Amino acid sequence: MARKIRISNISSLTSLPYLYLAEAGFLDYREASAAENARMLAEGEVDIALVPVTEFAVNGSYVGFDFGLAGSSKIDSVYLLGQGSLEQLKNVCIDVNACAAVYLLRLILMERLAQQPNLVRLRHEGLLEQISDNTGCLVIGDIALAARGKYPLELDLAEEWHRLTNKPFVFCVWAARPEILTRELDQKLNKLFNKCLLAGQALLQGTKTTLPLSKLEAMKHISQTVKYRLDDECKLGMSEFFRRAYQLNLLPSEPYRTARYSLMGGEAIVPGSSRSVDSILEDTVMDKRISVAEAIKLIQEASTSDLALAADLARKKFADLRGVEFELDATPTQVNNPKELESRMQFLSAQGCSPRLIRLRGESPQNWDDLTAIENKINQVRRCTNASIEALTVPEILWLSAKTGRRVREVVSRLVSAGMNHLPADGGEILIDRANRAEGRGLFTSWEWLNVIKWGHRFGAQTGAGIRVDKTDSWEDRFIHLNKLRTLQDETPGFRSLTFLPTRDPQKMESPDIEFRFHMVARLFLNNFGRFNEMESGERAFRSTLNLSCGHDSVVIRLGDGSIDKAKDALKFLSSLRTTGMDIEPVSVRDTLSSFLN
Amino acid sequence: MSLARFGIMNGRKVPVSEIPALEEPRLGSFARRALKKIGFLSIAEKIATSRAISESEIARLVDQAGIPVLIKLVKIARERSKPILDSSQLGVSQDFYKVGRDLNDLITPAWISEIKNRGVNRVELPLQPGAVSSLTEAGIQVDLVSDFDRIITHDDIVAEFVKLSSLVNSSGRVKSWMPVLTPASGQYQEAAARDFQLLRLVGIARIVCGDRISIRIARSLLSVDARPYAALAGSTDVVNYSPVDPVDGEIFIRTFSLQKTGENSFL
Repeated sequence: MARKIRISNISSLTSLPYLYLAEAGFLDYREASAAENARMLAEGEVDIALVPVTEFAVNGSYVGFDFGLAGSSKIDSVYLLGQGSLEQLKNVCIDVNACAAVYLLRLILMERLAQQPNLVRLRHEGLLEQISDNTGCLVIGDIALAARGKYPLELDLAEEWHRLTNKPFVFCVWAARPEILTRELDQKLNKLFNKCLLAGQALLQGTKTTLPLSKLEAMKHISQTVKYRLDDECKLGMSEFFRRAYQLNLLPSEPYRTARYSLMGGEAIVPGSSRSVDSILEDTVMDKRISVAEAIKLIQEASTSDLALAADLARKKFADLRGVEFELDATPTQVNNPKELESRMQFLSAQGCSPRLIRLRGESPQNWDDLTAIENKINQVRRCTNASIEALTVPEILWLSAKTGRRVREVVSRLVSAGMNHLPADGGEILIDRANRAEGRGLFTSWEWLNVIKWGHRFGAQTGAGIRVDKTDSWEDRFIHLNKLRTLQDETPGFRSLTFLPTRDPQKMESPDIEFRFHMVARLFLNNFGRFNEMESGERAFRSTLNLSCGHDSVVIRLGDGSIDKAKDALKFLSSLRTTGMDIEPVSVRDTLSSFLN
Repeated sequence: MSLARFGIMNGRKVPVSEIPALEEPRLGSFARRALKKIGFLSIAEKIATSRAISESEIARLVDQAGIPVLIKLVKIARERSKPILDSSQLGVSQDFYKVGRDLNDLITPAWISEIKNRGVNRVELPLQPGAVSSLTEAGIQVDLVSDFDRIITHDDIVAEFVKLSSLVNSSGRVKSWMPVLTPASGQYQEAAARDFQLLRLVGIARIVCGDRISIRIARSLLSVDARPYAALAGSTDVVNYSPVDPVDGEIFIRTFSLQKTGENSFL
């Protein structure tokens, strides 16, 4: 028996007509938020989903069915609410699940305001309570439908878009991974989608769930306000949105594509990126975004020399000089006796190796009784150093949150207030839930990991980001992972650096050539990350040097708790690179080197 | 000379027939824009149109060009991708003779005549214009060697490449060039720095010489990690020996009279 097609709708009144899909026997129907649909489609957990239109640009390899959710001149379910005027807004709290609406909001704000407000993602609960004179709120779906008519500032984003462009705005589109489609399936689905449009009224009458509107208003909403079939006008609206978002460097330049099929076999044509390698690379030099599909095209088709040039230019955009920094692992004894740590720091400083970061390595949190005890330990260390303090990993924070029954937000806030101002990338090596579950590491989801990081950023901590280099991950998974980092960095720019984490399992190791290319394309993909770290490691010295010459810009030397001989060797090595024509003579390196070499 | 039947691709020995000999357009729009941004476009244009680059441009390469620029210029310099020949794995002996660095005084008409009589038609020697000219005029093919253990200062390195450019452009009988840089012993890091220096030197030589000669690199001079990048830097031949030890004329003549040398004869 053929597998059922896994399809995911959005659970909201606006998308109610698509509930009719649940009736089809060949479909395995489910509902989730638009953001979760996007994640599931990207990670292969569903075959077809109603996803934010922006996913087409970000992913670059989906095909659409010409059905979705659009507003001709308004939508009523996507509002920016506030007590004052638009110009007064300093912060905008946004629904944790908003995707396309956030890009549209950013685009509108960029068009209308000189000073951009901060965007803060929050859960639905309590979202509206944040509204004040200078804090607005972007609400979507049923919350928006229920909230309208209550605030002095109510900006229907579709209406605002229509005012700007005289075109409809498409928020969500039914999208598929083309590999699963055939012409027959497409025809079958299209018939179903058309039936959905007719079934809306009946479904509304039969619904037993609480509606945010009266049935009459709800009927008007789904029959008159929302457009479900994406006609030519809608497609023009999408093109215009993609064009503007690309120009403002919000999105890659991938277009919306309707599914097409081969004449002979009737299989869907996998679109990939239609642009040339040269054109994609030119975009990277112009600091434009590239999509997942474009990144994969670069990995597969670009010449190494072009990638090297582009990656080096991308590096120079952030800093012309490469840097070196030290990290110190504080022992449990030092954590418990800050005087000892202080004297170690003074010694290192005198040797020209002042650590930028101190990693507290105490007992695991399982052995700690309460949050207060941890706060006290951090605070004790904070009082004796200005260096960044890294105390707990994201999995440890999630564990603490669960154990103490406190929300992640509160735990992070308290730790940061105590003096912890750096979070490591641990636990976020590959933010693909399917992959983590398959490896038995699904204790927390990628969303939960990103949520901890987000709160860290919000409260002023910097964090590390990483990606494992492991043959078991597909290119798509790798760039979807990086896209999650890129998206969070847009909203809360607190990622300090990206570190590549090569596997130690020889069976899973990528070839040096592939690894080298991946480093370079990642640099081009993450155009909002300043630092690409190279961990000092003697055995990988050649590869590190290659990476440093082609996109990486930072060498991290871990001092451990022992001697500084290793650091001295590494610094001599970096110094010797001066003679290779590399501009690896950053002030920070030169200054540090001076005590050893000059 | 034996024809190579194998090459190295992605670090593996493969038959030459399996190595693609394709090349994208020499100076695409991206490369043009990128090179302009970093100030190497004029050099790139010269290379793309096979014009000789000047001494000041060579100095600029030595002084400022990082690996990304060098490998891009190398790619432009080569008309089409050629497989990197790995002579060390072919199992055939070299059919030429290596001449130590201090043999230039010996290269007299009588000496040339003697080695010709003995069947020598190819020699390896440092970049000595006089010696190169004498040998090439006598119909002997020349393989050049630059000893960067001795050529250390920036100006001397530039001068060496200027000389290389001039010799290659003036004589059709210069067949190859090979840099010598003794590998560092001990630390991985020192080896990596040396590898990088060597690859840069190879790259600059390729840019200076275009596709006119083979650029050889001694397997023993590069670490295992660096070897796959020799082709990217512009080398076309990885060889199993290295002329790191100069021999004096006496030893050469003695050895020479005893046997027709194969690889490793003077090592």
